[in-house]
Amino acid sequence: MREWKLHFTWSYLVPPLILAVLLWDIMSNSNSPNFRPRLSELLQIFELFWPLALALGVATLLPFERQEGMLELRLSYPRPYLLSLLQKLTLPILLWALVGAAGLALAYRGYMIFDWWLLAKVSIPPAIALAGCSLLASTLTLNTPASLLITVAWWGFELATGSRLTGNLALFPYSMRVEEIALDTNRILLVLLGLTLGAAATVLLHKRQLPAAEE
Amino acid sequence: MHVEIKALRKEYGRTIALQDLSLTIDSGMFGLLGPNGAGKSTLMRILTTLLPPTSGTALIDGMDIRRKKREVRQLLGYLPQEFGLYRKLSAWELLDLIASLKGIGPARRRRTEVERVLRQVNLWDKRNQRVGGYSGGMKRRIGIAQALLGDPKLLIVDEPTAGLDPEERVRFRNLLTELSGDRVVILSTHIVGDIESSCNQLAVLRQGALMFAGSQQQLAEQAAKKVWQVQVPERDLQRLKSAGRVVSTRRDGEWIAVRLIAEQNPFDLGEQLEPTLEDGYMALVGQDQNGGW
Repeated sequence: MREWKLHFTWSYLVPPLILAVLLWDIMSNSNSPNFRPRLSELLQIFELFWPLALALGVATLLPFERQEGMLELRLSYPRPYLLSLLQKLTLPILLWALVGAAGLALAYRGYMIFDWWLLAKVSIPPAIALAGCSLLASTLTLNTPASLLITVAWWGFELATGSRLTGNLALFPYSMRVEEIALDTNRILLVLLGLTLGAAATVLLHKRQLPAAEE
Repeated sequence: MHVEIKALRKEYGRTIALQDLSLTIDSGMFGLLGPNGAGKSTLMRILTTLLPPTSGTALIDGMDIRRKKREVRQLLGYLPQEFGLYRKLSAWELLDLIASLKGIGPARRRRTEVERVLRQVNLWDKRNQRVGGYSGGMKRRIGIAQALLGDPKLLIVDEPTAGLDPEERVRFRNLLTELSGDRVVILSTHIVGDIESSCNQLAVLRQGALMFAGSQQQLAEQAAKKVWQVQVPERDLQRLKSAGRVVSTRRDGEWIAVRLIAEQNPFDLGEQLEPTLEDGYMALVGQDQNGGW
């Protein structure tokens, strides 16, 4: 809990709030007589914003010790740093899951029939890919704004190009209606990419040495 | 408790930070002296397992720092020269978190341990205050408190009195001396006064090489029969400086009293003095590679 208290900042809540506002916008129309619930609308929101919420939460974790000046001390303690990192990762994941669940509970009222598998397929792979990118960027830069910028740059690039330039590694082929991409292959590749980036970050973290001693 | 350093070498690219250093350290306060860039912090970081040596190793209570990192860290309390603290947390919360990172448990034992170290460094009354609001001296004290958690057998403190006022400095030195007992306390500094009042055994590093290891008296003897006091008018000061290494100067009216280290009586004007620890240190680190000043 102490680690969670340390790492929680209100910025964690910004992407989930955007998600909540969009969901609210859909739901507030659900009482109108012309309302025709469309699952694709909801899935778009989950594909575009839910992954970003996780990635931005992850970006702040690694640079934190360095920015607070605690890195050298932290590494001198017996408990492996990697273990702490995994524990800290549970905070953004938990927040991400909570907001997602709340959004879904709200949306369920309007849609009644729901394709859970499609929702997971659309939203979780880009979340893993963006979180992996965020973790690697923060391992390399040890700087929160830089890692946030790198992650948002990838997300923004995909949004701006309509996910048409990255082929089978496109982040949002469902929302952007990129017909030529096989969704299943794309989803598997995104999960693999995210896990590879995360593994690379872990190896780098393990091998990272303190900078040359300044005396 | 016993630390044995064996032919320890550290290279950063082409720079040699430590040159095949061998040293034995027994229980009590041990001083590590040396000018900036001597390799003290590198040695500390290797002993704390934060940096791997290029070659050689060190045994801490018989455990190799290259192979038994986790076990070594369990014996260790470390206070680096520069450190920050999680500013959001209170002293109590911070130390409780660090205690869990050090593997101290269960919660009841952790609470007792945190209370013990907070009282030891006189921060018990400030335990609920956020450490972000602490003064420089209080931050140093919380720094030593985190090092003391778990009652470590080896305490490594790097330039602990930097930035402290004289009163805090004395208090800090006394605290370290009280703590030494049957544990090894390695105190790294470039301030001779810190060592003089607390360490019986010491080593001097220069440019990554071990220049000296022994007692205070043996270090002072490095300057035996080489310490002179000379009174000169101000205009002759520059000429006098060429005769040896000036340790201190004191103005006395029109004259300047100069304490310097030289192989021979400078211009036959000097009065020979008994060497102090600082003289011995200056005699060692002041020599150039050819043995001159």
